[in-house]
Amino acid sequence: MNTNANANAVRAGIRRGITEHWISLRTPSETAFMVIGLAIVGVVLWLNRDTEIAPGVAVASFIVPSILTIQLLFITCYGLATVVVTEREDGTLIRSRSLPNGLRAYSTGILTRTMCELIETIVLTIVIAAVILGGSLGVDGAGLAVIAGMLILGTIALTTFGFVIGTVFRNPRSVGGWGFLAVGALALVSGLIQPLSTMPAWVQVIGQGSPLYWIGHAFRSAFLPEGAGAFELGGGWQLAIAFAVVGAWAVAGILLAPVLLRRVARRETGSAIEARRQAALQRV
Amino acid sequence: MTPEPVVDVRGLRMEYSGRTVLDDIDLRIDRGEVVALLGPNGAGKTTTIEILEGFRQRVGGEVSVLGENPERAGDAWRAKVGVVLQSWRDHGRWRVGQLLQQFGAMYEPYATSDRPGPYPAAELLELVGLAAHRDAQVRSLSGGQRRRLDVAIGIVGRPELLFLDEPTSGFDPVARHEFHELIHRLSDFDETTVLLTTHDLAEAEKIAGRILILDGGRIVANGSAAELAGEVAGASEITWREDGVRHVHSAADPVPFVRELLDRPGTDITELQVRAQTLEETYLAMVARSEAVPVGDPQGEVQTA
Repeated sequence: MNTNANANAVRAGIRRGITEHWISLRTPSETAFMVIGLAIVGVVLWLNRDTEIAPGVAVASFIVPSILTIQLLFITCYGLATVVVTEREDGTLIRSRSLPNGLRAYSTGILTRTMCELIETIVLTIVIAAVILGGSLGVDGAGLAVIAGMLILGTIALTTFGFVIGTVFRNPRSVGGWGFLAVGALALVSGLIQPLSTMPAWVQVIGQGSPLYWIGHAFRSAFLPEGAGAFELGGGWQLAIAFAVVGAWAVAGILLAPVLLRRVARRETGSAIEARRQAALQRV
Repeated sequence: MTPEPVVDVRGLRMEYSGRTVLDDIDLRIDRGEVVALLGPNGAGKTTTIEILEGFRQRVGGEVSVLGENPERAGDAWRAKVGVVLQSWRDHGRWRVGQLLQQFGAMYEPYATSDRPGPYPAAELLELVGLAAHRDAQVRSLSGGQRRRLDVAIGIVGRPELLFLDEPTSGFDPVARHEFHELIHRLSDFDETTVLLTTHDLAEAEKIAGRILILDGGRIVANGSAAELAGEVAGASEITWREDGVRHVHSAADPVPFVRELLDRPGTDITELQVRAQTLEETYLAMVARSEAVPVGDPQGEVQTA
């Protein structure tokens, strides 16, 4: 009975996620957001298509891993947190609680939706990069395995923190503003905009604790030749450490997220939603 | 042998930051009853219903809903309870039929031999009068239609117990009438137990077998509309014209008074009217009576943000 109910909830969640993804794709403003993002990626790669940092090492090979990492961060953390905060305010979360196994279906749904968006964006980005830069982008079989492995682990680590951020903030507008700034700052200190080795020592310390630095590191190792490891902080590729750090973040997130989500859902009540709705009407 | 009550509350107390909002509430609801919770704004209606739904943690007292403590009850319990909250505006971009199907599917594992699975979406939309809006986006619905969809979602799992918080706000008279029919149907044919809050006294009188008046965090009256009227002295109003002068008198039982009035010799009585007290008058009298005896806290709007 119980396992049956759980499996049913997961199925319902996947169905829910796919429905919401379809709705999102058919909403012009949301599709436009993705199209503009991909267009910017295309332009940046086009402008840097012939530039080389060192003989045989293209600038684009640094840019593509950073783009993939930022996309991962944006979709799994920022995007997911925005959805959670918004749906907490509009009553979706409490509605889920009023249904049997509702929270399980809800979180499965939100993960499914995030996965769909992530896979689409990453695949399209790689296709665009391959078209503009030509060929295999210097990625071999082993590199492909590293990218896939890091995408999965990184997704687990970051989605759970997306849930955490989504449950900590109260107001969708504050996630929109502060969250956006935080994502930018995080991308900077994680060496996704400018190599970490060129930044002050204290930034390097923070950066190396962040899963983003290591996700970017692993992606770079796949796109760049062996020798380019010399540009990295440790002077070489450290894939074992990368997987260990991101894995640790994933475990921490998996332990923390369900607890927080349940806690927040428990505190949410209909009258609190009504009170916030009134407050929102006042602000307009 | 008395059957187990569906809702059994003893000595329920609730406070928000030290202020008492529910004070020693006792409440028993049996299977198949339709009970309306009435009271001024801030009387604690929504708080009571949210505690019974398991969405709020009480401060004290014992609460049993379908035999379980709602704070700790699991998913099998959830499957037997339908909830319509005061306000939701979620899932605006979903289509009506799609949303109902999505939520109905959550109840499928909980079907038993004597309790069939969820309503098919089409049947339920017919029942709440939204069949024509099956493919409409939820956000395109009017306030009343939206509320009917909320009710449909509340009953999609064929609950044993249904909570409705202000279910008919924003309904036009036709929608309201149809909603009342629906509640009758649920309680008569499916033996669904219903607890609703409302501001509409006529509605409470029409659909509820029993009315509870909550005021200042206490239950000040409990009974059918007729019983409540009987509790307030001067339940009927008698008006007449005697020798050209208009008179008014109120009496709990108008019959002896009218008999005596007409038996009086030599008087010319015209325009005699006897009018039973409306629930509205009973309600106002009861709330006024409870406010004359202040209990603990001053009255007023309670915002529970």
